[in-house]
Amino acid sequence: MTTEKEIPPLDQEATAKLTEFARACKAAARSVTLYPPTHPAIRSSLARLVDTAGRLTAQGPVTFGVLPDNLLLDGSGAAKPDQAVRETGALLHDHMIGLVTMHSSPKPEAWLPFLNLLAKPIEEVRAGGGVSQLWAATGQRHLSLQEIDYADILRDRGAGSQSQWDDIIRACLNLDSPLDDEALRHLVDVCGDSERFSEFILALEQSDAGTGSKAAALIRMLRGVVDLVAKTDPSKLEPLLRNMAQGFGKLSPELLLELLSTETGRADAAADLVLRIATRMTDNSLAGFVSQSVIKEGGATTRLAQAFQVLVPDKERRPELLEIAKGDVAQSPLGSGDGFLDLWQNAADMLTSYSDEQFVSEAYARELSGARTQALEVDRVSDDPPERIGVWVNSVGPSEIRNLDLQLLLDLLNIETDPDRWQNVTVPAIGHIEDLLLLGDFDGALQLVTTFANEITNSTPKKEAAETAFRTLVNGAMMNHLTSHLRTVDDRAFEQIKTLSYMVGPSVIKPLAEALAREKRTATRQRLTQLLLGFGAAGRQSVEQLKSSPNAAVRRTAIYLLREFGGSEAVPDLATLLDDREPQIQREALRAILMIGTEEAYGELQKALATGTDQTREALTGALVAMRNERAIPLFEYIVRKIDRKGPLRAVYLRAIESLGALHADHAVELLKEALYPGDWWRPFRTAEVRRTVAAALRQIGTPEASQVLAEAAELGPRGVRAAVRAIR
Amino acid sequence: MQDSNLRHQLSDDLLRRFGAVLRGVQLYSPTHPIVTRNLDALADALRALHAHDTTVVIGLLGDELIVGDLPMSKASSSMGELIRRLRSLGIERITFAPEVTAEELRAFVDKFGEVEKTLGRSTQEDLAGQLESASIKVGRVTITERAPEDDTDAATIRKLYAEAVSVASVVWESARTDEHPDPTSAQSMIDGLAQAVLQNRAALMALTALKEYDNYTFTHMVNVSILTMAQARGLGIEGPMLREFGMAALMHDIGKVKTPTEILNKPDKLTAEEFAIMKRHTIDGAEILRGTAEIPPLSPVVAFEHHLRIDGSGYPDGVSRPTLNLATMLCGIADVYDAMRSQRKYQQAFPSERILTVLQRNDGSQFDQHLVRRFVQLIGIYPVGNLVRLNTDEVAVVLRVHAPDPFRPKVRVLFAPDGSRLEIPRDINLWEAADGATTAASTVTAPLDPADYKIDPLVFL
Repeated sequence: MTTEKEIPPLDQEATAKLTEFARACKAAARSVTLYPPTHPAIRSSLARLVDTAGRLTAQGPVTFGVLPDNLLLDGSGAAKPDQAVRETGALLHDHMIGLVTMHSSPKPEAWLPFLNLLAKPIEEVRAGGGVSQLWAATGQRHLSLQEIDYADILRDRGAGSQSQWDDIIRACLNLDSPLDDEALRHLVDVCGDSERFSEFILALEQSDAGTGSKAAALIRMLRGVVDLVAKTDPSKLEPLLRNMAQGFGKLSPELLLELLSTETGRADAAADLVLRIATRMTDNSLAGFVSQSVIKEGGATTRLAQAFQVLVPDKERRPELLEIAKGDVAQSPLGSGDGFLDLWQNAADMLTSYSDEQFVSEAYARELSGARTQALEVDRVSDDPPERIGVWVNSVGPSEIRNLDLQLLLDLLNIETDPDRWQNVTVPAIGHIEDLLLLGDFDGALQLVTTFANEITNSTPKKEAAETAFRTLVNGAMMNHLTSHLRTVDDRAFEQIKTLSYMVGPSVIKPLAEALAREKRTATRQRLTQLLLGFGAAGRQSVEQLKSSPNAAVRRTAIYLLREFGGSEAVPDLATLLDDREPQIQREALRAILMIGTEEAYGELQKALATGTDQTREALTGALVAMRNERAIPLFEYIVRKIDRKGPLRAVYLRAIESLGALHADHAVELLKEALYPGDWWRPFRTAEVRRTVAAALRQIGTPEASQVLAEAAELGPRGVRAAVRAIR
Repeated sequence: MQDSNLRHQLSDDLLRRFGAVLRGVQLYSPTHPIVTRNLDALADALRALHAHDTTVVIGLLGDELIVGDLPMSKASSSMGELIRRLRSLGIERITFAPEVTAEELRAFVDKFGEVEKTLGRSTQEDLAGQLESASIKVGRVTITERAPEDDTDAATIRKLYAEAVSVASVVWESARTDEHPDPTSAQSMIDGLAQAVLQNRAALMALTALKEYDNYTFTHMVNVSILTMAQARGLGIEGPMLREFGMAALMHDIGKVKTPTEILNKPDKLTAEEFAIMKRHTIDGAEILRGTAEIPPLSPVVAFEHHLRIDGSGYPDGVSRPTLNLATMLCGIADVYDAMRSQRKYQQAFPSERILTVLQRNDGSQFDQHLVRRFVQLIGIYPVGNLVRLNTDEVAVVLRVHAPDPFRPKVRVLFAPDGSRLEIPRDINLWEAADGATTAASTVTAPLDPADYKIDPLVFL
């Protein structure tokens, strides 16, 4: 580094440019520190910075050498630098910047990373790996920064003046830059001289760094020096430690406590360097430590009392030391005051009797004592890295809040013992279940539903509330949400839906059945049916309730369900609906029976036709006539085969024959042939009507077999048959 | 008729899928299987409706959702959250063209989530521009942006604080009488405090230092809210999340409305039975808040957990968390700090140093010490606005905390050692003075009550 005397002078124009730049830089740095990013003050100060930097770099890159109180432009500086130049130099120097090369003046925003760097406290800069590392991380190229290497300075300089102490302190504070052996040898010289070491301590106490940083720097220095001496010349170690102990008398109570808290608790007692030194403090050092603090603070502080008790654990020894300290204080201006004796007595009382016990219990005092050292420790912790802050902030992210909310509800449902209050908790829990089901998060919904189900299964006092909760769920949005997922979810999710539905119980059957009745998409229908079938006997029982519902829509749902269940077991239930008061229900039941398509089903239909009211018969007949579905052919065949055409169901019989014709039921030709020939001579008109209907059906079927039956009948049949066939030609 | 029923069914399905997909991106990462599945289902639902209608329009009319020209009353009743979210963004209509792609849908829902997070910071044009694509158009109503107020004036801050305490009493009373704290008043108050925390944190925090003997319950609610938001702000949290932190902290003790007054105000140590009753306030608070619509989900969580500690200690009994969320931790710190600092009938105020020590008790295992450190740096041992006695017997108000040494703040000396009021107050950086610079005053010896000196420290900030 260059001292002021050696600086070549800067010409007037360059001085003016440098001064303008320094003013702009200082103002911009201040704006960035004080104002939020969007504040107009930042914009205007950046514009000025760009302007002044542009003037400096108009002819090409320039380099600033940084001194603690000056800036050199390409090695030259003003003999009497402007205040702004001095302050900007100090600002850069404080941030450990030794050299700045400005290649160009970029856009205003590109200055922000640099200014933000200057806005950081030096502790933060160190914690971030130093100014070079932080600057490199910004990716900016318009400036090159060279960090001050204090270890190098130590090698080049001795110590003695205040600025040199500052340099040593900076070197020790710069934890990222190692103190090499050469630098340490200079420090050994400092520590080996009690007077110089005491000067160093006083300079350290007066530095701007925080207490934690000061302690870290001092320990770094002491440990480095002690290790070096132990390695190179162990015989000098003991005198060295005694010198250091003498210097400890100059420490403030705060820094001493900080040093002790740093070292306290180490497993390796030999490494407890601070205690090794502290135990070598002489009576005079200890008394000096006390008197210095009392003089400075105008009395004893709690921190002095704490430190004193740690340094002098032997209570018997304390009065003697305090007498020596009293003598020191009496020699100070404090000792000449009228109230000195009272002041000293108060101080002595505090130093000998200080304890937390008068305020708190012994256990609490221990905590307090431990915490106090941590309070100082905590000061030293470097700024939280982005990862840690990220973890904190993520702990309240949307996904985590959802989990927290679910966990809260589960906890409340588990903790709450009062049934009424528990019922209140079920209200938001139900809302949450619906929300989860809307999303398709069946895991979470299942957990909550399980808590309800457990209360019911275990018959706890909350059972009734749980049952109410299930009813509310079933009557709410849950079923709609559930069924909306049926078409898209995978098998695992479908299993969860099934589990959830079965946990809630048979009350879901009705809405499921209603959904099934409405649903038109095959995949959804299949899964709904599977769900309903899973209820087994309970499902069937529920259908029983549905079909007797006064609501026609619900009865219709029962029919859908019975139809989906299929099998002969459904037929009796469907058969009762054939006699329903609503024609539409009758028709639906008829269709359902048709879908089942067994002999038993058709038998039930016949029974209904035979025994039902006129209205029933009429409705069913109408439905049959309207039925133009190939699946109905077996039913029509059944009717033709089984129903007495002379009985009350004659009309049904005739409609069945017509339907076979209309549906081109080629398999029914033989059956129709059988129906063509029988006749009753005493009912000629009715016989003729039947034969004409059959002949017409055969003609509609129109297959060769049907045509052959008609041809044979026309040629060889009895007269009535021939007449019927001829009539339809 | 059949077509109408089918369209209704398809529309209902579309709304549920739409609601599910938007809820999904709110709760999960965009690539989460649930989100993907819901997006696929939404695309299916749109395809099915596009078979009937050229364009599919989801509209919001009053409290009812409409698909095309069909009012969807039944779906609307279970889609309150979707309606609220659409309304909060001022969206009244979303039109999907038939050629809408899966990518467009994904981009839309992703943006929807992002836009919600920046609510209040984006302009109307920004919002529509971000959400729309070639096949998705958004019709918006105009939302009046809240004009930023200049709350930096001390008198304004004081008024804001007084109003907040007043609103806190309203919130408390509504919780006590009908078990539902008034969320509208609370939210409005939190909005104001959050804005003030952003603009003039120091003055607001200084107000929390004033000891209100009679209004402890309400000032504590407000103070914890402010202190929690101030900590959160220091972690870079702002916007809706900051307000949620504030709301959660405001409501943290609301369960005490159910605690018998004689226990709440008992000057002596509580018996085991009484303490068991007192502990129930965490459960009661969570139940009250979780059962109140419009209270954000974080609030009941914090009310439930704010006495839980990271080492597993605390209550409610039988509850443990492997980790605590940030809002709970910040509120826990603020709660302990303010409760111990405040002067109540049965408890003298503790000096800050002792309070902070308690935060670090049990080897620092109860609270996250990194957060405690941040808190110490935030408020200092002698918080801004505190009236203090210096070692010179001068009386000063704390102006600024010097983070590296919270014991030595910047102060403004108001009274001379003999108690006389200085005509021209002077400022001292104690941390500089401690270096043996120009003045004898170098440290704080005791906190003082401003009421004893008949001054308002806030006017000096």
